[in-house]
Amino acid sequence: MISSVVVFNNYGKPRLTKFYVYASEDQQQKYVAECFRLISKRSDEQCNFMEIRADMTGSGTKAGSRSRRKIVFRCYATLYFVFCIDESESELGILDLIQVFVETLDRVFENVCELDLIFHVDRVNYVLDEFVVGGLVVETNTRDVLTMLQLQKTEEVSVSSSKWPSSISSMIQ
Amino acid sequence: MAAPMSALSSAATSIFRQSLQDLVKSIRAHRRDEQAFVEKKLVEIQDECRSSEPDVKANAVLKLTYLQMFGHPAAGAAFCVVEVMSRAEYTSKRIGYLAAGQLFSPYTDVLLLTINQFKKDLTNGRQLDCSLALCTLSKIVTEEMGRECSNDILTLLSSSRPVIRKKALVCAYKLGRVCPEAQAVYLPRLRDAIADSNPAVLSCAVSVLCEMAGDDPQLVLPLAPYLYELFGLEHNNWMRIKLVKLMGMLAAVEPRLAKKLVKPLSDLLSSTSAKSLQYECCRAVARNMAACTEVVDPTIDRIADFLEDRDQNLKYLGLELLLHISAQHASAVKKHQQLILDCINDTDLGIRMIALQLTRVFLTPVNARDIATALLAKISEFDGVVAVPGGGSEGGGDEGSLRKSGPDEFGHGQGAPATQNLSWSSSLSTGAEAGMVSFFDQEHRFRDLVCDRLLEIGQCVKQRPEDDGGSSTGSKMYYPLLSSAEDFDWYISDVLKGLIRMGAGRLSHRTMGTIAKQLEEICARVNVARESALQIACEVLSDFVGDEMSKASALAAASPVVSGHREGVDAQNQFHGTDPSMVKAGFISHSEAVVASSLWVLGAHGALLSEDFLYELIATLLAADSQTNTSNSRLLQCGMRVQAFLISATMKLIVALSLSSSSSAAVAAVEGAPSSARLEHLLSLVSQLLKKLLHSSHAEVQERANLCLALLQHARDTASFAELEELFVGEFRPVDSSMQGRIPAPDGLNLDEPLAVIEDEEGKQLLYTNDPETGTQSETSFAQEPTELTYTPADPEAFWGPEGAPAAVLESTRLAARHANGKAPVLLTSGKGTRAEQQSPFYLGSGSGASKGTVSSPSEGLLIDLSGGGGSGTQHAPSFVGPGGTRAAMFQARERSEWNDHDIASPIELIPEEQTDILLPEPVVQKGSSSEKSASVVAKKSKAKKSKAQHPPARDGSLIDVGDAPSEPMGDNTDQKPSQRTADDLLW
Repeated sequence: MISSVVVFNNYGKPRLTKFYVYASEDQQQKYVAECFRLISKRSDEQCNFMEIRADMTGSGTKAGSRSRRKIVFRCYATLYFVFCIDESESELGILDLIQVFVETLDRVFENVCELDLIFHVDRVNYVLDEFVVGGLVVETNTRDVLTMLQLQKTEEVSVSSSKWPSSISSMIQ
Repeated sequence: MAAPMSALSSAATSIFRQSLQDLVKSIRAHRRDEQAFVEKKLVEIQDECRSSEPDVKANAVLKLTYLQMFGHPAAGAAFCVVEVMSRAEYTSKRIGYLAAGQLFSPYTDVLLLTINQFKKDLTNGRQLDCSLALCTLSKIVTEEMGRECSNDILTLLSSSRPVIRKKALVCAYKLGRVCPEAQAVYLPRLRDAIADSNPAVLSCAVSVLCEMAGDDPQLVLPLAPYLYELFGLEHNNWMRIKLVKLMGMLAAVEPRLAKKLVKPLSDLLSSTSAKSLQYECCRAVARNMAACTEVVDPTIDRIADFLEDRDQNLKYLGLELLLHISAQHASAVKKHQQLILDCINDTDLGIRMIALQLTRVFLTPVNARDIATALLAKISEFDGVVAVPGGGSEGGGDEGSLRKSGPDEFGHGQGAPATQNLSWSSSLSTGAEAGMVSFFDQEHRFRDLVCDRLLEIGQCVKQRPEDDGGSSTGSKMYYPLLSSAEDFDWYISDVLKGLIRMGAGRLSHRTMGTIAKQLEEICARVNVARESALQIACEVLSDFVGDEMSKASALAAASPVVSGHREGVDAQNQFHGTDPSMVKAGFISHSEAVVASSLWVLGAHGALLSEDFLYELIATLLAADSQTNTSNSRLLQCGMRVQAFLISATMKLIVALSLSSSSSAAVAAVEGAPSSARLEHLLSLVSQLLKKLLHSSHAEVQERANLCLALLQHARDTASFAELEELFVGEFRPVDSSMQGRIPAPDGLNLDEPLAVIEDEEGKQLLYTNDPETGTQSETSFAQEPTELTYTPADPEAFWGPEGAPAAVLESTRLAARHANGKAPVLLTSGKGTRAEQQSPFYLGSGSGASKGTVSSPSEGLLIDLSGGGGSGTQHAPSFVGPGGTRAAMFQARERSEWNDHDIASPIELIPEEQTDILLPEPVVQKGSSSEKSASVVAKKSKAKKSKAQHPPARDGSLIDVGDAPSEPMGDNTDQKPSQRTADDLLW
C-alpha cells in the first residue's frame, strides 16, 4: 500500500501532500523535511529507492513486514515526487506510476511546471485521486484518467454560472 | 459614521473575494514575514468560514486545505467543511470532499455528521459524486462510518460503471480493515471481481487481494485457483506484477502452490522484456519460494544479471534480493562474489551498504584474505574522498568531533582526562544515533561498517553446543575464519596493522576500541600469534613515542602556528591551532585504546623480545615523557588505561630484564656490569615516571604508582628482584564472564549476616558509630555494607590446582590503599624496615606482622573482615607480598578483571592441552575480588584474634604508622589526600 504521496520542490517546500494513513500535521511536516533531507543530496547515478524508518513515514508503526517502508522518488526539474510504500507495492512499478502521473499532469496543465502545482494544488489532488484511492493504485492508464478528468471538467462548466465570484470561476477554468 | 461602514464592508468584500490563487500570490509577496502574514490570513479565512455565502465558504475551505499542506492546523473549520461537502454544486462538493480527506483525522468530532452525506452521495446515482465519496471515504473511514456505509458500498461493487466498481473495491477493503464484520460480507464479492471483464477493475481486485494477503494470506488462499488462471490471460504489466506478488505471498504459506508456480513464473521470466516484471518474478522466488531449489539457482543467476545492469535501481533491488536469499542459499550467492565485491565500489551508498552486508555471507577461511584486501583498499581509497569535505561537514564523524573537542574540552589543561574521553565518545555516539545523519556521517558510518566487517574476521565466537561434544567445562571459543598460524600473522600484520595505520583521526572510537580489544584477545588466546602481536605493539608504541617526540620538538622550536606542514596529522593540527597540549591530546585520544593494549601486550609477552631491544623500547618510552618535564606532561593527559598499563608493563619488563641480566652476568650483585648500569638507568626513569604518576588525576593510577614505588624501594633495599618476580609470573588467560557464577560458595558463608562485632583493645565495640567527639564517621561504616564482602575459596591449593592460578587481590588492596593514609598495613615484609620504609604507607611491621599488625585502627579491623570467611589462605612466609605458591599479581588481577568485559572463555585449540587445564573457574569479580593473596596481605580475622592474645596490642611500634602520623582514628586525617602525602614520603 502507498502510505503517502508527497511532492516538494528543491527547497523542500511542499507542493502536494497526501497521507493515506493518518498523520498529524506535525508528523506530515517532519516527514516532508526528512524526505527532502534524504533525497535532495542524491545524485542522478544513485538509485531511486531508500529504506526509511517506519517512524519517519509520518504514520504510526505497524508490526510485521509492513513496518518496513521504502520511499520511491523521482525528480522532475525543480520537483521531487516521493511515494512511500510498503512491501506489497512494487518499487519499479511505482517508479513507472510516478512517470505516468507526471505525464498526465503534463497533459492536464500543458507543459506542467512548478507554478501550476503551486496555484492549482486542488486540481493536482483531483488528478492523483484518479490514480490512487485510499493508498491503492486504481488506474495506471493515462487515457482513462484523462477521460474521467474531462468528465469532471464538463460538470464544472455546466455548474459554473454568473453568480460565482470572478476569481473562483477563473480558477475553475 | 456611514463612511467607515462602507469602507469596512468593501474591505470585507475584498477579503472574501480572495481566491486561492490570490492567497498564494500574496503569501509569496510576503516572504519576509510569511508566518505572521499567514496567521493574519488564517483569521480572515475563519471569518469567511462563518459567512452565510456558500461560495465564500467553499473558497475558504479550499484555502485552508492549501495552508494545511504547510502545517497550519485547520481543525477548527471542520464543520464548515461538512457544510461545503453537502452542497449540491459539484465544484463546491468536490472542494468539500477534498478538504475532508486532507483535514479530517479519525479523531475529528464532526465525522459522524458526514455519514449521511456520504450515504447520500454514494446512492444518488451520479457517477462523479459517488466517485468523490468513495475516494474520501476510503481515506478517512472509521469503524462507525464503515458499519453505516457498508451496504451502500456492497451495492456499488456491482455498479455498471467500472470506475465506480474499482473505487468501491478499494473502499470496501479499507472499510473491511476497520470493521471486520463488513469484511466477511464483501469477501465473496472479490471472487466476482477477479472475473471482471474490465482490466482496471481486475487489476484493482488483485491489488486489494495483495493487500489482504499481506495482512493475512490464509484469507486469500481459497481464491488461489482462480488467481492461478489469470496467469494465462493477457494483462498489462502492472497487473502482472501485482499478480506475481500476490501469488508469491500465497506460495509462502502453501508449498504446493509454490511448486505449481514454478512453471508460469519461469515462462513469464523468459517471455517478458520488462525489467520490473522480471524483477518481480525473481523476487517471488527469492522471497517466498526459496524451498523450490530447482528454480532458485537460475533465479539467483538472473538476479546477478541485474547487478551488471546500468540501472542503479535494478542493482539495488538485486542486491537486496541476494541478501534475502543468501541465508538459505549462500553457496549460490557466493558464485557471484566478484560482482558483489564490485558493488562495494559503487557511487551509491545504499548499494554499497547492502553489498557490504552481503560480504558476510561469503566470508570463509578460504577467501577471507581476498575480501579483506578489497575492503582495506576500499577504506583507504575512500579516505581521500572524504578527507576533503570532512573538514567542512557539520559535526560529521571523527574530524568533526575532533574539532569540536578542541578548545573547550581539552583547554583546561590537566583537568580530568577521563571525563574528556567520556564527553568525546558520547558526542560521537549521539551524532551517530541521531536520526538526522548527514551525507558525511553516512560515509563515516559506511567506513565504520567496513571496519566492522574486517574486524569480524578476527572475532572469537563460542562454539555451538553440538560441536562441543557436550563438554561441561564451559563452552570453547574458536576463530571461525582464522585457523593457522599464518592466518593469525596475516590478520594481525595486515588487517589490524592496516587499520591502526589508518586509525588515528579517521576511524571511529568504537573501531579503535575493537582493534585494541582484539589485539589483547588474540594475544591472550593464541600462542602462535604473540610474536606478530608484539611486533605491532612495539611499532605502535615507538610510533606513538616518536610522533610525540617529533611533535614536542616541533613545538619547542616555537613555531607559533602549527599549520599543515607535516603529513599525517595535519588535519588535526589545523583544528587545534597553536596549543601544544591540544595537539597531543587529540592524537592520544584517538589511539589511546590501541596504545593501552599495546602496552599490555608488551608487558605480558615482552620477555619474548630480545633484551637489547626491550631495553631500548622502555628507555624511549620513559624518556619521551621525562623530556616534557612539565606539569602538563603528556602522560598526565592520557586516559587511565594508558597510565595504568604503562605502570604494569614497565614493572613487568623491568623485573624480567633485571632477572635475565643478573642471570646472564651471573653476578648477583648490582654493581659493575654494563647491564646493571642500564638497569639502573631504567630504574631511575621508572621511578621518575611513577613519581609523576602519583599526581595523576586517576585514583587507580595513583595507587598503582604508590604500590610500585614501594615495591621498587624494597627491591633496591634487598638488592634482589627475585621477590618481585613472583608478582609477575604466570600469564593471563581469558575468563568467561559467567565463570564467577560457577564458583561454589564456601560452606558456612552467610553474606546476610552482619559482620562480626570487632572489639578494639579496650573491648569497646567498633561498629558503625558516629564519633561524637570528632564528629566524623568512623570507617567501620563499611561493616554495614555486606555487599562489599568477598570471600576466598576454602582450599585455594585444591581449588586452583598445583599450577596455582593468579588470584585477584585488587579490590581489597584498593580498599587497603584507600584507607592507608599512612596507617593501614598493606604489605607484609620481612626484616627490619628502614626509616623510609617505616614511613611508607605500605610498610608493615616485621616478623609475623601478618598476624600482628591487625587491630590498630578501625580501618584495619575492616580489612580483616573483608578477607574473612575463607579458611587457610594465610601463610606466614616472610615474603614480600604473599605466599610463594600463589603467583598473584595485583596488577594482573585488575587487568584480568577486564577480561570479563570481553565475554570470552577458554582458549582456542591452539593452546596446548596442559595449559587449558588450568582454566578452571576463577574468582574474578569486578567488584570486590579476593583471594588467598588478599588473605595474606590482609590478615585473617581469626588469626588476628589469635595473635592479639600473643602480642601486645597493635600500637607496639611494629606498625609503620608510628612514622609521623599518630595512630588515631581515621577521621583525623581523612581530609588529607593519600597520594600527596605518600608522594613526599616516598622520594628516594
